[in-house]
Amino acid sequence: MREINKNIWSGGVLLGLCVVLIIQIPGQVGTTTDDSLSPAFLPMLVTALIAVMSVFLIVQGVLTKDIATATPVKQTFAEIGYVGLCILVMIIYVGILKWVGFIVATFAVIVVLALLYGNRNWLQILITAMVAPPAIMLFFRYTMLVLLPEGTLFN
Amino acid sequence: MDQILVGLEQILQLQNILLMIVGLIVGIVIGAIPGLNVPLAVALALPFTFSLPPLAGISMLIGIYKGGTYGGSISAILLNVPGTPAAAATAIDGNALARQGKAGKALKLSIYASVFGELVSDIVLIVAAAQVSRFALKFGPPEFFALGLFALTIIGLISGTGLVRGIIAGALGFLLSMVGIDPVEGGARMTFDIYELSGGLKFIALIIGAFAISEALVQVEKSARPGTKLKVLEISPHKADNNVSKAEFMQVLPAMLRGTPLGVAIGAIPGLGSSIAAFLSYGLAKKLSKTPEEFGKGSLEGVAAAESANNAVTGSTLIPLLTLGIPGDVITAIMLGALTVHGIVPGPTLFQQQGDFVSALFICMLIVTFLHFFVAMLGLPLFIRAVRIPRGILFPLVIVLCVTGAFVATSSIFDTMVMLGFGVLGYLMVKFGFPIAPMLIGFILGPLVEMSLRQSLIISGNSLDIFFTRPVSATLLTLTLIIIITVGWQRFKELKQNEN
Repeated sequence: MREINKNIWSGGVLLGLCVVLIIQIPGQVGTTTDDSLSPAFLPMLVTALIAVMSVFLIVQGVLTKDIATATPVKQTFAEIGYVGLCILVMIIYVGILKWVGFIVATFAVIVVLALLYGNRNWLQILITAMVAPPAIMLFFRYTMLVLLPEGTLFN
Repeated sequence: MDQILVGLEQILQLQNILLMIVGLIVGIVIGAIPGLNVPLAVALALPFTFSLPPLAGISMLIGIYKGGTYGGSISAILLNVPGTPAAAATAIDGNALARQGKAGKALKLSIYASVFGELVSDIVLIVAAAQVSRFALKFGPPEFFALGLFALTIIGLISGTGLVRGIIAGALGFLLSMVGIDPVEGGARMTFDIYELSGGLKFIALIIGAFAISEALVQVEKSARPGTKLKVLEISPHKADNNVSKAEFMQVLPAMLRGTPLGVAIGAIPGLGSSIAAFLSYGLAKKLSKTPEEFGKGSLEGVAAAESANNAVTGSTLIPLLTLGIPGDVITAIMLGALTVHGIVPGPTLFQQQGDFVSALFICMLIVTFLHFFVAMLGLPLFIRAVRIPRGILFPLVIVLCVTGAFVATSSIFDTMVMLGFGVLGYLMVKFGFPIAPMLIGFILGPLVEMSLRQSLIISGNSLDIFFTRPVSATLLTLTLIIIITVGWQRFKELKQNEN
């Protein structure tokens, strides 16, 4: 079990991101006129506000370790692994959707995710994985007139 | 009168009525399932409304909103696990009644109290909205800037787990809303040379990702732990345990009459929401009850007070949305997105320019409330089964619907990936104690605040006097400052106390 102080960690990461943004924003904003407020003004102001608040978080984390807002996040490696796997499965699903097609990709993703969510009832999983994809596809096609990807792999 | 008749003609169509019923059923089922919530249900349903006429789409979303707000009480009563945060107050006495074999009585009372609260809230919306919009017609850019800032401040400070976290979440939403083309000068802003970002980040991707995918990730963590099975309490076969007698109804009526106006008032203030209404009403009912000792042990008054206030929020939250274009909570923020997609821009001019639509919407609210009663009474056995759906089937389907919904709504693999990115961001925010609602409200109000600020400065020739010489903007900015100082001082005192 790993324990991290969420105030220090979130404050630190946010502060780092804000520093990167403050350096990047001037080069990321195109401006054509010089009167009134510049398009970069509000992004800079809001980023600076987040940076200041991040410093507050870090200070809170260092000074007041016992208060509720500084409660450490307890995370097991298994939990992190499950979340990471779930994210990976979702990214692959979206990535292959157009290539493999909605029905095949969704069948596979339902089986993998059902196992990841702890379901070991194969009959339940297979029935859901076989019924849901065509049902969703037909619903979108006939009620919303939207065609979901049929895939190019099997053409 | 003409507008009411036109509104009636528009809303009383078979498609609209069926969509209201579908919305109610979906809302109640999703509200009843622990882990799923109303914003998630509305977010998932949003892409389905795009191909529907505006009124039909909004009818379904209102059905989900009202059904979901009530649905949370089913799992609160049967499992002692509130399906929605607002149902936590209902769980205290509702589950105690269920453990005494009176689950049917508690469930029916929660239907009566919910529908009562909704009906009063709808009437207040209909009466008050037109008056507020007439006043808001006098608003210009300085007033809208002050109002946007005021709403953003309240939501950032009050909702969530801490002052600093609320501000960061709101500011993050504001920052994300500025990605894309600058609304005044037309140049690219913070697109990092990614062509797909020039159109800005998509609202639908943010909603589905931050609310639905993040919840799916929170739930997958539980699979890594040896879990305990939730025990669903059974319904007693005895008639007396499953019905609310006239005497019992009269006994709880005062609690409902107090809870309902409380819920209506809280709903009209941006950022407060139904959980606060439910707990305040529960506390008030206990304080004024003749039998306060029964609270926590199965008090009917406790269930009625919490449920009436909880559902009384649903109508009044639409007052700031329709009249000012300011969403008071996450659900109305999503509804604002749905209205905008259909070319309907909420705000003071909505009542003048699209009076027929507003009348139809008001009638829709009342019809959904009446339908809620019948759908909930008839479908109760079905909804009770919904709480038993295994997580290992439910969440894979939720994820598939999220991806499909985002893909259909944006027609882009890039935006669907962005939606997953928002899901990871939402998950990290939950894990690190940041509230998601202020981020969404910041994303919605960001463009309004920015545009009105820049327009005001152009009008005034870059002078800030414009905000302090107009009474409404000066009052709102003063109120914003007072709230920041008051909440900041309270949190500072809390920190000091904790240190001691």
